[in-house]
Amino acid sequence: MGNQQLSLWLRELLAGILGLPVADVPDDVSLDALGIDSLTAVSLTDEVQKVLGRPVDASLFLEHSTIRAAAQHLIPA
Amino acid sequence: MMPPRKKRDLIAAATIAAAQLGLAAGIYQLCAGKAGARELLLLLPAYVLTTLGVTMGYHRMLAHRSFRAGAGVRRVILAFGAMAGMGPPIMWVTNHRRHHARSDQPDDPHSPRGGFWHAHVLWLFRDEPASPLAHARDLLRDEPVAWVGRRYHRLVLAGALLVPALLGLAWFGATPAGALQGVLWAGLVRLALNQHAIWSSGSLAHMLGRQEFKTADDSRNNALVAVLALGEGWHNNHHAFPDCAFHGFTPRQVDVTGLAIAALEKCGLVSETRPVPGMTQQSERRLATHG
Repeated sequence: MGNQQLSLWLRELLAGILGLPVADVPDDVSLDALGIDSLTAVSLTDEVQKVLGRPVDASLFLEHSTIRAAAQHLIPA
Repeated sequence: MMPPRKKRDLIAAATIAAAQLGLAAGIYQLCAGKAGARELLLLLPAYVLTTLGVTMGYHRMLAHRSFRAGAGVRRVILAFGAMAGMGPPIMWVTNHRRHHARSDQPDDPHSPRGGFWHAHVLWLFRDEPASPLAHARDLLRDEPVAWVGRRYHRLVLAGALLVPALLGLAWFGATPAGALQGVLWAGLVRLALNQHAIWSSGSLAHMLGRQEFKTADDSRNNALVAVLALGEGWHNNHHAFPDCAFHGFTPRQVDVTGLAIAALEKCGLVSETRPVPGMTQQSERRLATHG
């Protein structure tokens, strides 16, 4: 999986939760601005671990607040 | 960019306000003799299908997993549920599971211990929403749920405007007035009734009615709510046995949603419905006064 694929996967996941079209969940806006609280952001790392099949630091989205930044951190281009 | 929470609240408030104005216009038309059986005949099936989308789909299928259905059936039921305008499925389930986990306790999202109007509608704008990842993790990878979630606002608009306008043209006559009458009755009046029926299970059915089973909350069996919300008013039964697919436990406790689930099971469209608990199980929970 490349970081763009991971980014799209996260956008689709959040769009489904928030009730928004994928286009309204850009990858360069912070999760906070999208309406994702910090507790949810931390839990989200579990989902990322499952899809990547390797451990991911629980503070991922606290240190990288946008989907794009987090995806690039996990899978450097 | 407006904060997402504020934007969501504004959209919800506008939907609710439009539906209430529609309801007022509908009541006026009925009183003034400008609407009658023809309008009600359009309203009824639109109301039943969308309410079932919430009661059967959002509530009994997703929140309580009280029966199983294939992806296609799930998608259809949930799409009707979205048209009731009560929020995207994961958000609804998140709030509802928190309601069961904390029923009538301080962090219940909608307990009438905070007042009738709080439990009925104002809670939507007060609490910080619960975390979907804490309460609805099992649904995150459910494709029909995500599919409906991503189309939520489009489904609400199609259900409130586009489809009713087309129905109105066919039902009342191919004129702008026909389309408007369709939007009013199958769109706005229908939406307002969806809202009050479902909200009443959180408000009235925690205030008025009989408590037959011991539960740690104020849930009641309320016949009026049961009629309006297609069976969801047998709310004390539901809180005592939340996983059961059927909320009416006796022939007199008519549960339209339960009947619809049973019918779909007969047709082979849903399976593994969780039955009404046996008499022994019921009597263990029954309150002495009704024993």
